[in-house]
Amino acid sequence: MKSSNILLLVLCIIVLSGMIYTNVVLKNEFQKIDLSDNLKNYISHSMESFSILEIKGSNGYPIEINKGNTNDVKVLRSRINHFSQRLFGDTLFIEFTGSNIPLDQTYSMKTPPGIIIEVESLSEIRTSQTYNRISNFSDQDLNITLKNSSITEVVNCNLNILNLCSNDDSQFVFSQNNTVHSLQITMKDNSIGRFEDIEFSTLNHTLDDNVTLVLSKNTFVKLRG
Amino acid sequence: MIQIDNVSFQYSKKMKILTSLNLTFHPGKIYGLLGKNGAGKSTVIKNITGMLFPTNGTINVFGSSPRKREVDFLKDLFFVPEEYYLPNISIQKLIHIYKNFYPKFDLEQFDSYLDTFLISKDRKTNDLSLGQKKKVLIGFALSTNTKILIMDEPTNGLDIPSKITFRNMINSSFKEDRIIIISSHQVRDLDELIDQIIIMDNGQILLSKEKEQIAKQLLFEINEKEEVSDHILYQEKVSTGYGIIKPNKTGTNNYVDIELLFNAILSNNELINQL
Amino acid sequence: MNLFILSLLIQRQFKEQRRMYGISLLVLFGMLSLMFLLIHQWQDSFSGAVQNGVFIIGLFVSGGIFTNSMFHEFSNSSSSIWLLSLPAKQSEKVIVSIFISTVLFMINYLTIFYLVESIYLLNTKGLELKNMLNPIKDDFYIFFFLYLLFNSAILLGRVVFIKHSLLKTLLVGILLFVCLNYLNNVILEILIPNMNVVSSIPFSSFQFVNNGENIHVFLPTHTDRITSIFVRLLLPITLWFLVWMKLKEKQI
Repeated sequence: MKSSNILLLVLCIIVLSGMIYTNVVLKNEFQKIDLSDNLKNYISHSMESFSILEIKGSNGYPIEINKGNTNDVKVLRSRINHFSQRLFGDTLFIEFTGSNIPLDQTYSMKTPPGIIIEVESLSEIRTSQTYNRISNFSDQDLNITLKNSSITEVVNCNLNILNLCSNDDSQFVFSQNNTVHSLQITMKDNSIGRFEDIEFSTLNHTLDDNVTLVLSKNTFVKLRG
Repeated sequence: MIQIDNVSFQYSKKMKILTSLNLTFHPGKIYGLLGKNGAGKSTVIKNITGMLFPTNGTINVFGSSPRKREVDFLKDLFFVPEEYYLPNISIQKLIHIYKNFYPKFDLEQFDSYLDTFLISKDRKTNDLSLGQKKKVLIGFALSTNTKILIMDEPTNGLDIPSKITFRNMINSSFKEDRIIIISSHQVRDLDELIDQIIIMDNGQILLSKEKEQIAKQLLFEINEKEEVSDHILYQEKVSTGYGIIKPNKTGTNNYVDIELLFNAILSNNELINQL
Repeated sequence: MNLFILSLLIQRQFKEQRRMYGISLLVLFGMLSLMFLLIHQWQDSFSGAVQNGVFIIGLFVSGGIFTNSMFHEFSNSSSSIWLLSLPAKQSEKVIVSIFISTVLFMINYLTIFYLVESIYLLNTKGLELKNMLNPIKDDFYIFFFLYLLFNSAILLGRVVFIKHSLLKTLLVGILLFVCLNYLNNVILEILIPNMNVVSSIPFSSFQFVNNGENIHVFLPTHTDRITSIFVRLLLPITLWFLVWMKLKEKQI
C-alpha cells in the first residue's frame, strides 16, 4: 500500500473517531438541558448587579431588557459564539455581533430574542445598531441613548422621568401601555419616533429639522389639548 | 553508471510490460535502444528517468534511485519524451527561466543550435511547427550538459536535413562522462551514431552488445541473388537484392547494417545464440 | 528548502501564465461587478450581509478555478513529465503552488473585491468605511480558514485526477460531505435514541425538535476550540502533506 494511502486511511480513522468523540460530548451537553424549562434554548449567565447597560452589535436578533428580581443574561444557544460581555464598574458592556437586516424589516421580524436580560435596577441604557425591547420598568427614572440605527421598543413601562436621546437614523416606539410623568425627548439625524401608546404629564423636546414623529390619535389629541 | 537489476514492471497483474530486465549503461557511450512499437522501450526509459517505478528489482543511476526524483538526480538527467511539451512562452523567456535549474547549462551552445536551425529566440513556442519545437527541445536538452541524456524517438517529426543535423549535434555535444540513450523504432536514424545496440522485444532484452564487437563477429553483405549455404545466419530480400548475415571469420571490423541485424534478431534465435 | 529555486518556480508560474492571469483578473472584476449589480437590482429580495455573500461566492468560485490551474501540467502526460523532471524538490513545487493559490491569490482577490465594492458603494450607499465589508467582524475570518481547506482539497484532486480534476474533486467533496453528515446523524441517533434530530454539523452542533421548538446543542468552548483548530488548520495541513506525498508517488 502506498504511504499516501496509509495516511489517507489514518486521516479517515481520525475523522471518524473525532466525530464519535464530539457526538459523545454533544450527548453530555444535551443531557444538561432541562426540556421542561420554557427558556431551554437559552444559556444563562448570572451577573453581579449593574446600573448602566451598554449594548452594541447587530439588529439580526431582538434583545429583550426586562425588569426582574435577578441580574441574569440569557443568550440563545445558536448565537452564543456571537456574544461577549464585560462588567466594568457598574456598567455591563455587551457585544452581540452578527449580520444586520434593513431597518424597515425589523418590525416584522419573527426571530426569537437573541438575548434576554433581566435586571433588578437599571438607570441607563445605551444601544448601538441593535434592536431592543425594553419592558416592565416602573417607578423609576431611565435614560435611553440610541446610536447607529438602533431600534428600541418600549413596552409596559411606568416611569417617573424618561430621558430618551435618538441619534444616527435610530428609531423608537412606545408600543403598549406606557406611562411617563416627565418625558424628555432629543431626536437627531433622521431619527423616527412612534408614539403609539403612551401617557405623559410633561413633555420636553429637542428635535432636529429632519426627524419624523408618528403619533397615535390619543397622543395627537393630548398634544393639541 | 546506470545499473538495472532484475527489473520487472507491470500496470496490472494481466499487463506485464518488463520481465526481469538486467542492463548496464556506462559513461562515454551512446546507446541505441531498438525495438518494435510496444516492445517496452519507453517503459524502460521511464523507469530510468523516474517517471515510472519498477514493480520489482532496482535501478541505480550514479548512486541515486530514480523513483526518489531527488534534485541532484534531476539536475544531471534530461529526458526528451516522444510526446514532448514546451511551455507557451518565447524561447528567450524559456531559457531565462529554465537555464537556472541546470547548473551546467551553456547559453552559447544553445544559441549556436538555434542559429543552425534558423530559429529566432523571440518566437513563442506555440508559433513554431512541431519539428521546430522538437529542435528547440533537443537543443535545450543538449545545452543542459547533464550526465545523462535520454531521448525517446527523437527523430520522429524531423525532416531529413534535420536528422543529419541532429546526428551532428549529438556527436559534437558528446563527452566522455556522458551517457546518451536514444530509443527508436526507426533504426536507420541511429546508424553511425550509436556505440552499443540494445534490442528489445516483448519486454525483454534480446541483445545488448557494442557495435564494434558485432562487427567483429558478423559479416553483413548485399547479394544480387538469394544464397543457399549453411554459413548464412540470416537472409532477407531488400530493395537492392538480398541482405545476408554471415559469421565474420576474418575478425576484422566491418560495417554493421543495424536494420538487417534488428530484423534478424527479432526473427532468428540462432543469431542471438551466435552473438 | 532553497529560496532561489522557490523564486524560480514562482517566476516560472507567472511568466508562463501571465496572460491567463491578466484575463482572469478582468473576469473576476466582471463577475464581482455583476453580483453587486444583481444584489442592487433586486435589493428587496436580498437582505442581511449581502456583501459577505458576494465575497464568499467570489472567493470560492474564483479560488477553486485558480487553485485548479496549479499543477495544470498534470492534465497530459508530456507536460507532466516536464514538471516532474524539473530539478526542484517536490516539496518546493507544492509549497510554491500553495503560496500562489493562497497568499498571492488572496492579495489579488481582496484588491479586486474592495475595488468593486468601492465602486458599488460610491454609486449606492456612499463610500464610507463603515459600509465596507469587514473581514474581521462577526467571525467572518473563518471563511479564510475554510478557503485553506478548500484549497488543499482542490490541490489534492489536481494531483490525483488527470482529466476534469476540478469537477471530480467537487463531486468527491460533495459526496464525502453528504456521507459524513449522514454518518454523523446515525452516530447521534445511536448515542441519543428517540430524539428528533433536525440537522447536525459534524464536529460542531446539532439541532432537535422538542414540542415544536428547535433546540440547538453546541460543543463546550474548549472542545469547540480543539475541533476548530482541527478543521481549520490541521486538516488543510494534512491534505497539503498528502499533495506532497501523492506528487512524490506520481507516475506518468
